[in-house]
Amino acid sequence: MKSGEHRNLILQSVSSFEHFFRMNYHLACLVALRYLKDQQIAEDIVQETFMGLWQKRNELTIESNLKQYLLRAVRNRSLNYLERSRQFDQLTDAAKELAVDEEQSVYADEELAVRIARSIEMLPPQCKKIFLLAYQDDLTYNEIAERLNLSKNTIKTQMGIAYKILREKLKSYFLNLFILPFRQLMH
Amino acid sequence: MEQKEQNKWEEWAATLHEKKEDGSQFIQGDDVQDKKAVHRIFEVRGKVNTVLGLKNVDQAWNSLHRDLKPRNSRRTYLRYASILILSLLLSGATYWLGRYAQFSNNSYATISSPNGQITNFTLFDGTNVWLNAGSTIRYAQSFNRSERTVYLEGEALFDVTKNAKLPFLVETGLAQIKVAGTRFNVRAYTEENTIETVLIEGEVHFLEGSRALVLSPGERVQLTKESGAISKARVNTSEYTSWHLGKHHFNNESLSDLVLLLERWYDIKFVFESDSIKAYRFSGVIDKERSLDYTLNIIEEINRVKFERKDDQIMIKAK
Repeated sequence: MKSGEHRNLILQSVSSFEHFFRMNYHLACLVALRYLKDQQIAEDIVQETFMGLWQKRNELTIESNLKQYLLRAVRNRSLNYLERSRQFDQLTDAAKELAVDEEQSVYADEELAVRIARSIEMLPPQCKKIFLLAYQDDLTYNEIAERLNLSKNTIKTQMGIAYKILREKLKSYFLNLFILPFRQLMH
Repeated sequence: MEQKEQNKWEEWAATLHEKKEDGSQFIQGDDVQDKKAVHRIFEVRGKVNTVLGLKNVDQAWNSLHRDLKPRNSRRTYLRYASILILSLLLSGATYWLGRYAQFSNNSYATISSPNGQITNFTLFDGTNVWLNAGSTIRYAQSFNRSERTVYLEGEALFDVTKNAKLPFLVETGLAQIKVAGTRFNVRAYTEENTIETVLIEGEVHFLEGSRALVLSPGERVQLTKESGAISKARVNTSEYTSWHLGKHHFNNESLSDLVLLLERWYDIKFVFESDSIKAYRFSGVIDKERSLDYTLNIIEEINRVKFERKDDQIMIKAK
């Protein structure tokens, strides 16, 4: 096999690259936000990284996982950004320490969070509304009941349904998670 | 029972959101996993909320897509020795894995069928694969140990060895096809605008993003890349698998599709004189045991086109 002859399949057509982008965009943003505070900057860095992958598609021979490659690149760009902006405050140092620990980065929480966000979008409308008020806005059941003019019991039921559906949608993910990187769960 | 099932979720939710006492101490089996899952979902809510606050993926893609330069449209013309034309398309030509597969430094093996050649090989798990011309398969060193995934670019016919513990997965970039043991064809050429699977025996799952379709024997599922539309139809499977015997059926397909096949099978380059010819429709069978000239003559007879050889290219003109 000549090197360079087998380029990464994902980078060979716009449509598969688009699919790859859609599957990993939010995850990459979360990875960048581990090191950066500003959401806009994180999104820009992710955008640049995807762009870089596409532009170099003919030179890159990524034999390993393209996703891992992407996340590593996002991390490096985020750290470079911190260096460049010369904000050597505590956060920067903390981020750098974090990065050293993570030579073999596993972004288990980030992966899960992206999947949960995607699954929340698929909840029935009313259920989603109730769930987000509790989960996102941290309202109590009473507060939600009042706001939506529903009984507290309805809120309780809908919350149960929401978790049940999310669990169901995330089944395959949790299966892997609980079996494989068990230590990941422990910290 | 159903009522009790539901209550368990309500109770866990209330524990987390309402700081209620956890009344479900005596849980076991699946419940333990379910409860852990609920707690994990709750635990990572900070990050989930961050995601919900990010630009949605459509917007993000649109702004990136605008910046992507249109792809270099000149397809690389792989010149393999001309002896490969036709003569190697004998159905008996079987190339064993050992000759072609090589693990590179990062533990992926690649098997390719160059243009002008159909390759047949057996994977470690006993799965038999016919790889059509201009197609590539890759798999990791962990294949048949912790997983059975192959990455396909192009077209292949699989006869998968049964193993319920390790499902067999064909990854095409856009869609995945998952099976336990079965016979099916996958067509996913980068330059074509559809990805399709035809099931001959057994059962397969066609997965794309969050969508999943189950196929029964005799069914074909087709994903259109641009629109994301998925359609399912009952088909005559032999039309979709006979390529491995060197026969390709065309059923009212466009001349541009036909030309893509001829380029792969005969390792030759075609040029259209005008774009309007590309849309001409063609039905019939291309047989690799016939010479290229014979095949082109037939196409000329039933279509309003003529072929002209020019150096190493063939020009297609309207009659």
